[in-house]
Amino acid sequence: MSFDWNLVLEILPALLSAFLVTVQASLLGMAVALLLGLVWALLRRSGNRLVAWSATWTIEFIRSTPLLVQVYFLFYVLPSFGLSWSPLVTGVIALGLHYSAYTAEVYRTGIDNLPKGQWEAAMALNLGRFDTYRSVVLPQAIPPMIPALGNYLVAIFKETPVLAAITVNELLQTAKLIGADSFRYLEPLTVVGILFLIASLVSARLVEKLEARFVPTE
Amino acid sequence: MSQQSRRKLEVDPILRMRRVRKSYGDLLVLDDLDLEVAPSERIALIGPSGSGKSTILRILMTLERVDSGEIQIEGESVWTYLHKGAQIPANEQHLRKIRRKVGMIFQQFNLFPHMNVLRNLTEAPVRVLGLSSEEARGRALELLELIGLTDKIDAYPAQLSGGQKQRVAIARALAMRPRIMLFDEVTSALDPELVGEVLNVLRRLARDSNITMLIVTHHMRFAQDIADRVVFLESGRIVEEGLPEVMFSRPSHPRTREFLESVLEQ
Amino acid sequence: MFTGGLIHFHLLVLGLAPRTGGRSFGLQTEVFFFLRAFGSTHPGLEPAVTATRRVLCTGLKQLFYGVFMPPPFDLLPGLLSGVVVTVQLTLGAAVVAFVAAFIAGLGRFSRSRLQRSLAKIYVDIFRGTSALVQLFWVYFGLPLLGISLDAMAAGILVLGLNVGAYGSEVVRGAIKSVPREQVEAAVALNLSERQTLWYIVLPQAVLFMIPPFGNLLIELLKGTALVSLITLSELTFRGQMLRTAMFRSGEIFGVILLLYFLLSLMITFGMRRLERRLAIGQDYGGVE
Repeated sequence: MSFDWNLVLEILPALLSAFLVTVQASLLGMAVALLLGLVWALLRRSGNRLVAWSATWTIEFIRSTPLLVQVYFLFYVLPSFGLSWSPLVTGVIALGLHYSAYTAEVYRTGIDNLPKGQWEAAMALNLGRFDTYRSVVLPQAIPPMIPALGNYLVAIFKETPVLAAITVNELLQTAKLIGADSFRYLEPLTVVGILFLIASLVSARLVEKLEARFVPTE
Repeated sequence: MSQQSRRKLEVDPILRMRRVRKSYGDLLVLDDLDLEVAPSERIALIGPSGSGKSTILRILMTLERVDSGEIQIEGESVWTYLHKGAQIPANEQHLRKIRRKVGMIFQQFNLFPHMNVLRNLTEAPVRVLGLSSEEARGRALELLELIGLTDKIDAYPAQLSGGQKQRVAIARALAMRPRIMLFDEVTSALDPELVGEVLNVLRRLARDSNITMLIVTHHMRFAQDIADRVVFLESGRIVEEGLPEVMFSRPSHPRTREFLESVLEQ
Repeated sequence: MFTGGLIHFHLLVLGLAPRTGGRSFGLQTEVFFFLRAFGSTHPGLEPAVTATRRVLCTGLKQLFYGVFMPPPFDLLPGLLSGVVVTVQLTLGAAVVAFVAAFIAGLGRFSRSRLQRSLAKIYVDIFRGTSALVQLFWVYFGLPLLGISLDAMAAGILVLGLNVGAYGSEVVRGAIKSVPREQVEAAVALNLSERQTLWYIVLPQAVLFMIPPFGNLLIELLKGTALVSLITLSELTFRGQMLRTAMFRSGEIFGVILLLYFLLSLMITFGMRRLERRLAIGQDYGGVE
């Protein structure tokens, strides 16, 4: 059997709109991950030892278990709490939750790498906790984090196919449906694979550029 | 010690460098350098940092290439070789043949951290020279006696002091029975109290063997003791060379005098 | 002493405790002997005796499960076969990943332009696309090109090659981290390039590789869950099956998450021990 190029042209529009769904899910998931990760990072720095310890182990737990199972967990459990969201929303939350464990780590190393002198200077100027973070810590710590965070956005993008398991109409799910419909899986899956590859190579270049801009070379 | 075989320069030199040039990018490190060394001669290379002393050693050990010029070891060209009547650039095989005659001791010891002392000493003899492990072990034991570290045979480098590490490094190089030994500031990384034990090994080596030794050092008294000839290098050129007695007491060149004054002050 | 006896009792119920001679026969056996003896001397009561024995047997089993394996842990036996398949998949893929990582990682240093490019292409493709898509492509797409793989083989191949691509970067980085002076020392001793790589550089590089490899192994473990989507009966798949049978989703997936977490902890500890063993004699500050 050979490659059916006509089929490729036929299915391209459907795949491109699925691509949009993938991008949408990635960006939203990243947004959740960024916010939630910050929460974890701050909790870990809490004075209260129990809180810090719990945060650390929660992050470890999330990071060490499969995204797919976490997706299933939310998808099947949330309704019994009265929260019935669409598969896309559930998927976005699961992605965000899973990757918040990674962004928390990026925040942690970024903040830890800030020289102690900065904290001391802020204290000497009597800046409160909030202002210290807002004016001194975050503006200096965040730029070097950006390439690492960019890499995680790419990672999220590559993991969105997991959402196909709960019928979100992203790229893989669409390819599956096309395949089931036309009995030819090879073409849709290959196109999807190539789309991912292109997106990935392009974003790898972008992250390199980000790194050049934001990470000071010594 | 230093009086041995002054006849040397009537015999063919074991080492010959002619019009050697080397740059690192824009920086000229060796500037038309000419140097000849007789067999079993002990040469002390002195000079300010950046003068190119280490570079000479690294080139002789084939760790660096030259930009131009000729280098011969025991009459054989290092960077080219004769193939079907023509001289062509040296390949790895040829370089390895040349390397057999040369050994080097580094400032940072560079012992293999994942091997104990015995293995450090026997690895190359077994793998390169094809010695059996018993033969290599025998050789290693002899050398350990020479350097006075027989009890450390099973120790790992991490468990040794700097002076001990450097002595093991010397034994490791000697195990390959080179004709020429290169010493690149071998005591610079050592605490002062450990310097003596290493210099003593060098003295023993000079006294008890025929190995040609090129020693880059800033220990002037040691150089005076051990060397047959002292070579003063600055900015990639040999400024002056001669017998240690002459060089250290009545140097002719003003730069030599300046350098020695600044060094001997310390 | 009481708890010892109780445990022994439970083990007997499960048929796990050894039947030793003498006094340590345990409560159950003595009860059964008693019942049998009773039944044989009172023939009319035989049915009642048998019934009592049956009730006692199952009752005791229920008691055991109730005390030691309350819900949700009663799910464990059903998931056990899934755990076994997950472990098999992880180990198989780990071997593939390890081999691929070294071949591609060393290939990046090759003299031959062709080998270097091939290695880079492999790495870019497998890192650049989604593992799940690769899985589907191999399982559903390849058959149309004539190559059919079963789910386990597809899983081992895809996960292995995928993680292997990341692994090759680890290998490359570790080799570069070995100080240049070590190579110079090897040159000074006239070791050949091959000997330098195998006996001097790689042994030192391997020590640097272990922590990142540990992380990759955990990513591999997480990846095995994806193979459930091409119908391999590993842990996540069994979870889905139980869910459709029982509707206790929260407990099911909760327990499954814990099982994965336990496996990943085992990997982490295993890697630490490995690191410690390989670093004997060396002054290696990275090990706790």
